[in-house]
Amino acid sequence: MGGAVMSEHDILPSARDRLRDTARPLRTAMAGVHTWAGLLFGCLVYFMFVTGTLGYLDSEIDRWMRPELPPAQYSLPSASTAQHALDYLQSHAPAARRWNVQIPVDRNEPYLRVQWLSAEPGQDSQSAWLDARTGARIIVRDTGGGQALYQMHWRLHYLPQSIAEWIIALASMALFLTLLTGVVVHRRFFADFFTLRLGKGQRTWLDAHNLASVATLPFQLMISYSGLVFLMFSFTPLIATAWYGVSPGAGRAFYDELFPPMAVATATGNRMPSVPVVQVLEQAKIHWHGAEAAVLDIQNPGDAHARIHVTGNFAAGPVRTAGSLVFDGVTGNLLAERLARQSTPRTARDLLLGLHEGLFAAPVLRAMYMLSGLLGCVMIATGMVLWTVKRRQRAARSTASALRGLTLVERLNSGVIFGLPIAIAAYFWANRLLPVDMDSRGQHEVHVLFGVWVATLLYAAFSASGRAWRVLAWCAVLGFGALPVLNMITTHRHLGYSLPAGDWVMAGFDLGAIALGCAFALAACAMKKRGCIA
Amino acid sequence: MMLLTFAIIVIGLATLALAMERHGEHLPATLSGRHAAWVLRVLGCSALVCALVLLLLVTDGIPAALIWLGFLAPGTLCIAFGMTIANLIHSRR
Repeated sequence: MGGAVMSEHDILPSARDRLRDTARPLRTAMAGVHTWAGLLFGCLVYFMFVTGTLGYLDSEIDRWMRPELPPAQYSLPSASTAQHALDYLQSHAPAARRWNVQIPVDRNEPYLRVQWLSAEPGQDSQSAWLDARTGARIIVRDTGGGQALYQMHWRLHYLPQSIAEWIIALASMALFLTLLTGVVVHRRFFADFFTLRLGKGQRTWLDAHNLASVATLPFQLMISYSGLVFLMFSFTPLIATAWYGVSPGAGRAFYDELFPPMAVATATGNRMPSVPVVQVLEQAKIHWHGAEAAVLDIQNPGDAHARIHVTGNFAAGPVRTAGSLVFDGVTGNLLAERLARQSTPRTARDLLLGLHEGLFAAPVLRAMYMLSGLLGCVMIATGMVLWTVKRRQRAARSTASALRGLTLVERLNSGVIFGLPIAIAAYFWANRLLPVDMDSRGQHEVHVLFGVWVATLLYAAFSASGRAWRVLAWCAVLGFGALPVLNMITTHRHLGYSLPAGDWVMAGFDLGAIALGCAFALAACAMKKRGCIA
Repeated sequence: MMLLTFAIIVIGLATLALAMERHGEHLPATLSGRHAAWVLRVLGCSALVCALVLLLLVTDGIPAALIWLGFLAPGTLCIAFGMTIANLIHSRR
């Protein structure tokens, strides 16, 4: 204007400004998605992470909650073990239409278990734990054990499975989005990689949140994506619908093609002697180049049309798959086979499922899974607290409704973050305190878990935030710290027995409970020293 | 071998941390500067690669990679806490 010549400096700053204006809205938008997805699904995802992390120790928790069981028995020969199982089933359920034998093969299945389904329709299956050395039944208390906790991770509780699957799928998607948007929002991703500034209020919470997230980012991305793959048939049903249509039998056709039934036969009613199981297991071992069988499923046992399904070990490697062979139960002839690896897409899916479950993980890798899961819990918890700390600092400028929302989240945070561990401790206490011969004992243990959690939420909702945090922290200290003492009073498999005997599952659980109690005690002392959570 | 691998990872991460401007103040003056930072980064990355190679010597590909990734998390935490403690000591002097 006025004949002035535009210089380079006049052009470049405006281009930079345009670039800056484009970048800022993206980061702001991603921050909004990150915040709202985290806020709306934080409690549920925290529950999934806690129960999922405990799932990596499901067998160990199972054992602690069934102190009647001896140390693990998966090093015994599978042929003799299987024979003990079949002898038991033959004497206790000869007329059943289906027998199932879980052979102890590894840490995931350390005990010999049998199940049978009565020939009469409408009957539930029954099960028994057997001593793998002698075949004698081990009477164990009715409990959900670690499996119940793990199943809550993907089934929740008190909800129909179809609804629970959708809720879990939405939460998993929210988690995945939160992780990706968090990476975009995190301005100083590398500069803050090793940064943890203590005693700085909001900055400390942000550093802790970033550190827990970034240190385990590969794990978090894997776990959230593979969790969605678990639910892909429910979460993305239209892909199957597009190929198989929407007619009444279309869904069945899809699943029959994906998991085709193998050598199905109906019972004839003619009794015939069964082929020796040792022969079948030997054939399977030769077929699988030395790999052992893990599961025997016998349909129509003792019938002319008996079928023996032999399945390999799903946890043999990272790809969660196993071969399956079907033998004629009378002649021992091989009738059908399903290969462990059938196609590349299926193997990719099985790899993701295997990585998610970590069944193949040896002790060191399993410890890494546990640590990553715990850091995931820390990531979510610090995120939830950070939201309240940030907004409490802006409270003077907030509207009344925003303050109400802030107060609600502040109060619920302690009930969720500390309340859930307290509830899980209560679940373990119930396992030791409820009468062993109580009906539906396993269900009552779970009711105790949720009852205590509701109680902590109610306490947190009606108490001042700071006080609730401190009180619940000390409840957690008591809940976990006193567990080994309770174990000593109620069973003979306490630390005084398990340590000298080298029973590291029982000893490890008790020592882990003490460690958790100490961790909560440190948190309680830190909160008392600071006088508040921020 | 696992302990050795973890130790190498921690050393590698510590070297990478010290290459950063924020944490490099703990280094002696002779080791500061852009050239020194690049050397530290190369050394740090080399240590991490060395740890992965060690793991591959004792276990298969996928579990080795998973263990390596898994070790990065506690290693990062160790270094972060170490730097925090170093900063606290430095600020109190």
